Amino acid sequence: MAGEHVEKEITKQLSNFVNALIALAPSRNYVTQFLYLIKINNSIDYRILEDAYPDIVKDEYVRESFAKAFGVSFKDKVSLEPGKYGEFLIDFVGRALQLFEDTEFRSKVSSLLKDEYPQGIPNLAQEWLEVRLKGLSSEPTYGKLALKVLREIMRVGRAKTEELEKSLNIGRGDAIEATNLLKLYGLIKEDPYGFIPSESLRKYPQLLEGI
Amino acid sequence: MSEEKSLKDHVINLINALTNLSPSRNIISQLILLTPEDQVTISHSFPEINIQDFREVLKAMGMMFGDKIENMKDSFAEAIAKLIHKTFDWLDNEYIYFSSEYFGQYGFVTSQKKMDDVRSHLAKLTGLHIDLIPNPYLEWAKLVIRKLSSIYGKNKITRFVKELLSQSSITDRDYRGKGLQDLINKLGATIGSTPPELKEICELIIYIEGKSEHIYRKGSSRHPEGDVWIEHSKYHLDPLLCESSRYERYSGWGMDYAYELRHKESLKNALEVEA
Repeated sequence: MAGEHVEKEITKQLSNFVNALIALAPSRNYVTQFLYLIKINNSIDYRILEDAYPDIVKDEYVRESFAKAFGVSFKDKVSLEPGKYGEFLIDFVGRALQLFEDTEFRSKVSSLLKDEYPQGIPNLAQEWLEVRLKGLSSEPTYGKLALKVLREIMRVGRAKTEELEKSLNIGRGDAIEATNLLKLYGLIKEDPYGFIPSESLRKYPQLLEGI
Repeated sequence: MSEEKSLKDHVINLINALTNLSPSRNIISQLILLTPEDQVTISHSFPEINIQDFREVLKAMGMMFGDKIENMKDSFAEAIAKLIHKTFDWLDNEYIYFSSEYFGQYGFVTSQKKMDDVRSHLAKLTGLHIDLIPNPYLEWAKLVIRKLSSIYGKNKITRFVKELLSQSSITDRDYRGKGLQDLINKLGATIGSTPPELKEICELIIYIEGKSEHIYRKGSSRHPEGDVWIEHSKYHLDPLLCESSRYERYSGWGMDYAYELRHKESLKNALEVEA
């Protein structure tokens, strides 16, 4: 009986711990999502964030409190202030995404929490990629085009702007807007030889097919 | 649901998640925070770790089980321990950071600052009363004081912490540790402990020799050089911040050490609750 009690207590404690980590994921929390996007871009244009996250950026009172609480600098570019809590928190969230990507961790936790998570605990890194892809596809102006560009970059592995223009038969302006959007969502990276898919997209290419 | 309400909900969810990861709410965080420790001691306080499946989860997070239980370097367990410390400071208005500002001919000057208005800004963002914003440090301090009171006696622990909080400044010149030793002697005289007991209480509440966390190297050729540390104690109340500054004297260079008390308000509140 005592053993049963200890096991119940463990399940409760583990569930509390795992659920807290899940709640921090950028796919589930608007605040960490906002901070994470800034982190992967180093800084983001103020106007872009004003459109994407109006409830944080538009109201001066909210914006100021948010900036002071988390350590965010709102200038023409929005960035995380070095050494402050927001920057630290997002580094930690990155570690949590890595942990939930680990199949060994997921299977061990899932076996203890099978009543609460009959399908197993989520892979938060994959979930975050899915959220970004869905966000991209619902982007009203360049969303559909950006998806097309992303599929082409995935197909060839690496592409320059001129190559995208030619293979997709689109103008230079459209190609730049689409790749900018893809960079903003952290779905592609740019190096001196062109654009390449992000590491997470290379790991879970099937998610792009599902969009 | 209005957009404004949605942001409030997300901020509240975030604070609750961080609070649920703190040791006052979770034994996994307690275990991670209290290591390294002997397997026997931990098994006695946390019989849960003897269940193999649970131990496997802890191993997957980077805990190592041998004669001693400890967190692997750069593991997730270590990251959680850091998160707990930073969140303690953040939600108790004690988060320290360093900022560089440009002062013309003096170049960039780095100074130590504190995020000391976090709770008020979180109250504004959530619409909650400031006292309803969780304070994991205060929760933990209450638990620690209660536990230590049950071991050493309430009177002793209360007088020890009160005397500690009454200190205005602790400084050392050239030799790190003298001012601190004077303080400890004073605390010992206040509570009337034997030297071994005093050492034990100091390690549990104030600091453990060799467990300082170096957080910043300050200064330049034009500004006083030195270092900043947080002193860690066994139960991580970590009330001391140490700052060293190099200064020039006739016979060469010397070093000043100044200790600042952290979390004063919360430690005081924790004592009041336990009184």
